[in-house]
Amino acid sequence: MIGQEPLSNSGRYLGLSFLSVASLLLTWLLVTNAGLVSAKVLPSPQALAHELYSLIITGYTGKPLWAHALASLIRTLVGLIAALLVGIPVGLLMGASRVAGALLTPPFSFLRPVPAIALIPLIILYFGIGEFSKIFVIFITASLYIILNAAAGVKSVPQDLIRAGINMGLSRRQLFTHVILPASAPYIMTGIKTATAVSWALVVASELIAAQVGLGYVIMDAATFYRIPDVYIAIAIIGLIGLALETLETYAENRLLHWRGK
Amino acid sequence: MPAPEVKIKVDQVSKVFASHGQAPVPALDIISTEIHAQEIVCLLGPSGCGKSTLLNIIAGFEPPSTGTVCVSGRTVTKPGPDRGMVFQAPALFPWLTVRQNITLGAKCRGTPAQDYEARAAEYIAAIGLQGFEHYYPYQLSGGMRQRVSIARALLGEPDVLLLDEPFGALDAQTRLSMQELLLQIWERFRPTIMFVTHDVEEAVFLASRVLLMSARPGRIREEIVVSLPRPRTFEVLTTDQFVAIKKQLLSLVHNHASGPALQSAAL
Repeated sequence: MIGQEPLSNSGRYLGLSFLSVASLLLTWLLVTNAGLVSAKVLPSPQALAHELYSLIITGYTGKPLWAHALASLIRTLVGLIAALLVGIPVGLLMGASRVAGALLTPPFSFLRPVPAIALIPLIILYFGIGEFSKIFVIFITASLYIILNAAAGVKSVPQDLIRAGINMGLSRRQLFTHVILPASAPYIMTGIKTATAVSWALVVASELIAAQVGLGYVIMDAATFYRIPDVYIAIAIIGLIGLALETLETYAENRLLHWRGK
Repeated sequence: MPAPEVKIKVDQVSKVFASHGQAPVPALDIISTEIHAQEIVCLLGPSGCGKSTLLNIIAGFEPPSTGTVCVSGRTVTKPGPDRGMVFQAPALFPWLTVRQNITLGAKCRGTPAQDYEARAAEYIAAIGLQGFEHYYPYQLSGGMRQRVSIARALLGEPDVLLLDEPFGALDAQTRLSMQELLLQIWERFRPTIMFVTHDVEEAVFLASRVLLMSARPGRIREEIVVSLPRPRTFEVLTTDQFVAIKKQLLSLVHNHASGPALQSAAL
């Protein structure tokens, strides 16, 4: 195609990305080993590797590292799944029914710009510092994203697709299941991906505030006791899990919704 | 010989669109006409003359302000597969394959699978897309997608096939092959066809009768019978007879289009 670079160049761009990561790691290695930055602020790669090894062997505050990661992950997934089960139907209804839309849009429009983190103290006040609070924060936030995206999806179904469906003799219910629902799926998926990213950040935030286990708890505890390498390691694990979640969802999106936007 | 069955009866239909805060727009003046079985009738006219509005009323997407439309003796109240429609944009469902797009209507109507699968295969062959059954619309060209939407309309076993400027978005060569395809489908399946266009050549090439419409408000001002023999191929486009009919139609269109303003400018 005119305008597209020859394939031999994509190797060049891959090489550049590789170079970027490699040079960052190299800089980190040199700067820390030359003593240019205090080890208390930025540990050297070998110090982190050593600490990671010892964390895997002995765990953190009596619990294995994977147990902390799993605790954060489970809170996120439970909140997300609950949000899917509630949010998708509510969102679809909101988009399809003018009455529902009129009723629900004002409160949701008010809630949307409120950062979910700001809700955490209130939720802890009402529900305590246990598992429910953390899951509830995620549920509330994720639901909002999914609801608003699902409603937008329904509203954006092209008019000519609906006409084509009516012309084929589809009943109202068939029109919903066979036309409106699949046509809204890309929007719903976008809502899910956004909700996942936000939820993962939110679980860490709520664990920073009040938790006995979890990656956010690890950060908060390690920072309190000046265990700097542990902070970095926890951050890295958070980043990797977040990346893994996003990659999984993108993969599912490309398999199921390969037709979107075309 | 018995008179051919009346498939579409348009009886005293007019359409006025209500306009917020402004005078209502008279889109269609009182129109009455009849389309017979196996006819190919063209509604020809400039943009805004109401030809698409009339087609939408026949399809059931719009109610007429006055009058009624009867298709095969039944009054039209809402859209249905008996008036299969082909829109200007193919309007295929992007998440379904070619075969699934064509058969969705039949499936939802409860037609048994062995019935519609066989006919779907027949139509897919008739539109020349064998081997593409499992392709998705985004993998097809514009012309191919439009062919699928024709097959989709045909599978509903419509009393009439309604086409609204179906080839307007295609390039000239694709348009010609699509026109030939429509003629081949007519030869094979003999549907009653009503299509809307602003292209004079297309009207003469396809139609057995052309209803020339004028605008504001829309009405049928002239009816031209196109007596070119069938089957027609692209070769008919350069015959003397074709050119004569085209000439007649063009001067009718032109005389109406150039009103007093243009004539005084020419002086």
